[in-house]
Amino acid sequence: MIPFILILASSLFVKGIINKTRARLAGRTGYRFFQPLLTVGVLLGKGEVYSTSSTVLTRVAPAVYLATAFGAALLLPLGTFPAAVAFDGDFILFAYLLALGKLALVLTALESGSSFQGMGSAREVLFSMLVEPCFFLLVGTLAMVTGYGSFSAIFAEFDNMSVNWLMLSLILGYGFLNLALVENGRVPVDDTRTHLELTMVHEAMVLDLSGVDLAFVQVAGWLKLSVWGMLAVNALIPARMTGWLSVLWFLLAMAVYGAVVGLIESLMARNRMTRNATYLVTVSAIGLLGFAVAYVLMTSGL
Amino acid sequence: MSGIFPFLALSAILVFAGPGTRGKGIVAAVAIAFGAVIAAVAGVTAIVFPETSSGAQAWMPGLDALGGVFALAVAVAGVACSVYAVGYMPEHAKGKSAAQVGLHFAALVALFYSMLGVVCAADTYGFLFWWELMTLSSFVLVMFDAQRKEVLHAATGYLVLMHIGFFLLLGAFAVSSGQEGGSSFFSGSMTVGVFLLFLAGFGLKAGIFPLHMWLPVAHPAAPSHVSALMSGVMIKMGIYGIVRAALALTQEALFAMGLLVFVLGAVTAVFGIARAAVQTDLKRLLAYSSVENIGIICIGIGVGMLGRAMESDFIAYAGFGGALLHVLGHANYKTMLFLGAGSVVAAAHHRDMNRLGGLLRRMPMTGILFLAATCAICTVPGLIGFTSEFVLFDGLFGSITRGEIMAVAVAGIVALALVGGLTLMTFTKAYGITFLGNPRGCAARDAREVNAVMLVAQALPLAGIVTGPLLYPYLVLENADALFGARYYAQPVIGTMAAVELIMGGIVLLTGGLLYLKAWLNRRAGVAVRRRPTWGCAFTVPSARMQYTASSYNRELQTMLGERGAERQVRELAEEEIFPKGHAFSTEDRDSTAKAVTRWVSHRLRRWTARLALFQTGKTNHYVLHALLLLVLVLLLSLCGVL
Repeated sequence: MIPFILILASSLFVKGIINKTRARLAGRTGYRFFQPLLTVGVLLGKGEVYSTSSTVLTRVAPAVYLATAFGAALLLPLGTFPAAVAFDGDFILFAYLLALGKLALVLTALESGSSFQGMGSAREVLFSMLVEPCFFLLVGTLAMVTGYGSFSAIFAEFDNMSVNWLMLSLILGYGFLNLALVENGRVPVDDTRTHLELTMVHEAMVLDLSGVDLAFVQVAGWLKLSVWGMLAVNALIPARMTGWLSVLWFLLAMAVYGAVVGLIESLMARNRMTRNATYLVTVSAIGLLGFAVAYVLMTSGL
Repeated sequence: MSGIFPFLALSAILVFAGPGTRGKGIVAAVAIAFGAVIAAVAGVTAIVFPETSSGAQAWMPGLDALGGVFALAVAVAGVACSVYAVGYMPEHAKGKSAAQVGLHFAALVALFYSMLGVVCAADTYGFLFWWELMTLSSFVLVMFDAQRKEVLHAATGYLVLMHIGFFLLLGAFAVSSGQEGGSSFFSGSMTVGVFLLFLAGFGLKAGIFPLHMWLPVAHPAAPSHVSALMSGVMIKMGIYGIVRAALALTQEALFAMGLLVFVLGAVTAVFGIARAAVQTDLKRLLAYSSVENIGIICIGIGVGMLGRAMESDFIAYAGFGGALLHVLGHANYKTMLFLGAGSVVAAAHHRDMNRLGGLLRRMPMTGILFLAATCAICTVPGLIGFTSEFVLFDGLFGSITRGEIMAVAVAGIVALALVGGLTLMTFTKAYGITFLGNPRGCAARDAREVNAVMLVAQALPLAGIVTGPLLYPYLVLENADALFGARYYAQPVIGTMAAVELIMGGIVLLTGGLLYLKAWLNRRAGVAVRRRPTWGCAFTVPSARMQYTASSYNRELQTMLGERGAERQVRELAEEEIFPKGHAFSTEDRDSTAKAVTRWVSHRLRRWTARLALFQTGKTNHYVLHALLLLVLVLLLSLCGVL
């Protein structure tokens, strides 16, 4: 249960760190650190406005989205701390739970009958399709290196404290970081701050949600940010860190993760929409590269 | 199975004698339901007790464990489709004579029993007989609306292609029986050449790339319950044949052929779903999705063959197990999807998604059932679609951790992941554009819920989708030894599936809790839930025509796929028209691969026949010369003692 609690805890502050990093680099003070929480607090007190074209699907789907994010968080370990739920092939369930959440959100978006939502969801499914191989390749690499088939066993075993494995671990970490950027709709694939509906991806999908529904989607967004961060951190911190030391490492790494995401958002421009496909295929190619590197390392017996 | 003929004849007579379309339909449904119960019971018995040949299994002599899996799939889909026909046909068959309707229902019964005959057949003759009956009866079913030109075209194309496949099979059986010196039916050691013939023949039925050209044409043309039955189970008969042939293949050839089947499967799956994602015709989309699912099944078969070649029980088990699970699962949810599409067509009278929309509010039951099938095909955990993909993924990851067939496993993982992502795209489009939003045309706006019989029929496969995750692994994996001779511990998969069911139960509970929380928060804050028009970005008069359509949804994917995969726009504009008249605008979907294959073959055929035309000069004296030469040839040959 410890990794799950850690994900919940870190989800409360990662977004704040991203915002603060961005503001500092732009020379602003930025809004309060816990402002995202306050915003959600305000949303929780509001009522929902439903579109006249919507059905009960729109009322249920945001809850499904949040529930799947919780479910995915349950499946992740931290180093030697096992996940709350672990079995052989749990990463397949992880991927498809997140896909279920996406399905729910996309259908909600299409139900509003607005072209903005349609545009956003078309882009969202296209982009997540293009990085889907990347996730499985990265996990496949880890499975090959460790010889296990579940997140908990893999990350308890994966030790990067040698030059060769450190190299692999950096590739994996980079791959997971890119997945985190894509799956959470961050720069350079998507921009959460954009004000123009035509350039939105994820934000366009939730344009018509309000009140508690919107709060659910935002909380699910924090969770997903932490979930993907957790994967990157797991690939990077050595399994030799045991006990509470790894918890400390984790919190530190999550702070760095937030800062890195903020840094990327400040220093990079968002891709042009038509260039995103190329970018995402490159991300999948990184997964393949990681696999090739691991294969060479394994067979050469270094 | 020969005892079945009097029954078939009797049911055909009863179907023709039945009062009215509904009466004929009920007779056909009863005849099919009777067979389905027997097939399901005998199938399950054959899987669970493969050794015994008494009791329920004696109801269908010749049925073995592998046939049992397919018999079970046929039974479920058959009942759903025949019940659906009872509700669907009275409206659809208006203006048709009683004989036409009778022929349709008789062919439906014949198709159902011929599929059971195929899986029961234990000799070459019986197999080919039922195979041909299956082709002919499905041909009759497809061309029910033959007054429409495209239906006639699709049906004749289907008939021609299936007979090319039939002759390939005939050749394969002839060669294999000649080699063995006796009539061996899928037994002993099959050579590469024979296997390739079988692969081509069965591949034509199953729709393996590049032999898939009949599927996207025939499925939209046929009435929906027919396309459901054909897509749900009939194309699986090709898979049945391929599995049989794969199990009979010699050990030396297994590796190369396994690789071939795997590569074909991967290409078929990615190609099929990429084509499905850019379709705007609902039934054509489903047809291409069937091509994709055949590809996934072939990936499994290929992996299984590689596992057998390397004598790795785990890989063989995961490959064949995943493939057979996918056969069962796909038979359930694809039947449901096609029946749902049939209801959409019945209510809105067309299949073009660009003119549909908002059907969930007009047809809530159909909408919910279609959503359930959509979830299953999008591999939502806890439903049957997830189970088969899980077993396949697990097998591929397992072979990576074991350090075997690495390259194949990685290729398979990439293909399955891409297919998973594209499936999500395809079916969010199929569901979202058709059922959600606002109606894009008058027909969709005036759509009404279909009748109760059709709804019940659509709901029938739901039983398999929901119970499948635990039931099907038990049937297929627990009895893997009898099915395809690979022994492995089945417990992990069933245990995992039980765990997944529990987790999904938890997710459902959590969702319920969150909804309760929302209601509680709303009540505490004292705010009312309001309904307002969708926010239109300050544009005050948005119309339903401005919604995202099926074409716009896949616009970016089409650009990525390039011209080849794109939907071409056909615009007829005269160049220098002084007084322009009305212009027609239509879009047309072109499958350039299928077209290229067809054209290449027909081009070759024409060139060869052109050479033969050398003899056809049209002059009588030449023909007399031909006859004389033949006589001389016969004389010479008999003198040499050849004849």
